[in-house]
Amino acid sequence: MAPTAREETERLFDRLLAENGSALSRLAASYTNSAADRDDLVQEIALAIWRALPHFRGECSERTFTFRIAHNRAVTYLTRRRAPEAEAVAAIEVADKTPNPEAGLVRIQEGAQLRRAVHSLPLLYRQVVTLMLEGMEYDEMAQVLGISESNVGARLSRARQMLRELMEVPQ
Amino acid sequence: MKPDLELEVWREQWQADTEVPADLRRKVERGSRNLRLLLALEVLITVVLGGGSTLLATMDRRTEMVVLSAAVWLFLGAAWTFAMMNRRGTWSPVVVSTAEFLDLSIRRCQGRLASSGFGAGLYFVEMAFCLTWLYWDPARREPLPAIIFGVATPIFVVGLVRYRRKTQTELERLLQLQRHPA
Repeated sequence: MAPTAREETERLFDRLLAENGSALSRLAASYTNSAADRDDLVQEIALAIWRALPHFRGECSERTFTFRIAHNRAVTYLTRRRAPEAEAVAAIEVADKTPNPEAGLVRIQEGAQLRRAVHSLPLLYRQVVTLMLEGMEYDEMAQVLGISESNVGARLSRARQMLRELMEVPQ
Repeated sequence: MKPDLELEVWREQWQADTEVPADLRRKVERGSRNLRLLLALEVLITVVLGGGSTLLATMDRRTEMVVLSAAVWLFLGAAWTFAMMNRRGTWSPVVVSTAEFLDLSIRRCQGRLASSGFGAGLYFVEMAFCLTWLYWDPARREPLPAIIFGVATPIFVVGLVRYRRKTQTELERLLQLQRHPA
């Protein structure tokens, strides 16, 4: 029996989340200040993807489609929650992957400064940088953000310069 | 084509696991909760002491009552100024990462040590003021306040020393963890 359109959408949705879940979580983290907010944003993104999937006609790659929605949701989220940038950490429940603070610290610590620097970039630059760090090419970034490739290049060049400067500042 | 090494390193760092170890996360959450509770307690103390002394000064318009009320507000002002400056940047982590949570725990420990030092100083200044204010007037020369301070002060000092020692140990452990993470 052939799968119904809904079943196909469900399958595609599961696959998109499985393939891009970590990247979406990282993207959401760069727009939020706590794990709880990050999880909320990831959930909003997932919901938006689910709603948009029936209208996806393959005019771009699935990854581009996913990230375009993710970025739109993230920007909406930012405009909605602009004020509480420095909110206190709310109660967070996350699976205990490492039993003590020492485990896995080296690997994570290396990226901490980079994440902090990305987090403090202005929105325009943060958008291109997060996509660049996920391994996207110029044309994909241009499609996700709805700007020209030359514009992507210009923003990226400035963003990388800013990142370098931010990472040189002792934090 | 020449490989972009900087970008490759950044990508590797970016895509590394961002999950913060659970007990460090719990510690930071507990610290955030405690800070909020402490703030609520401070507001309550300000309302009770500040409001109470102002009320007394308004009802009993003698100079000594006005002096008492002014001193209470001065002490409260000093405590609030110190607390606000000392807690700056310790309310929440900027980003969700282990290093940031560790940094925040260290800053909070250092803040607790600084506030215990300030608290001790303020306690002795307040005690000196209270005893002077009480015994200035021969009519108020009763032994009870001196006895209360005589009992409370050693308890306060012992508690403070133990608290500082515990916090210092915690700070050293966190600093050690930061220097030698694995």
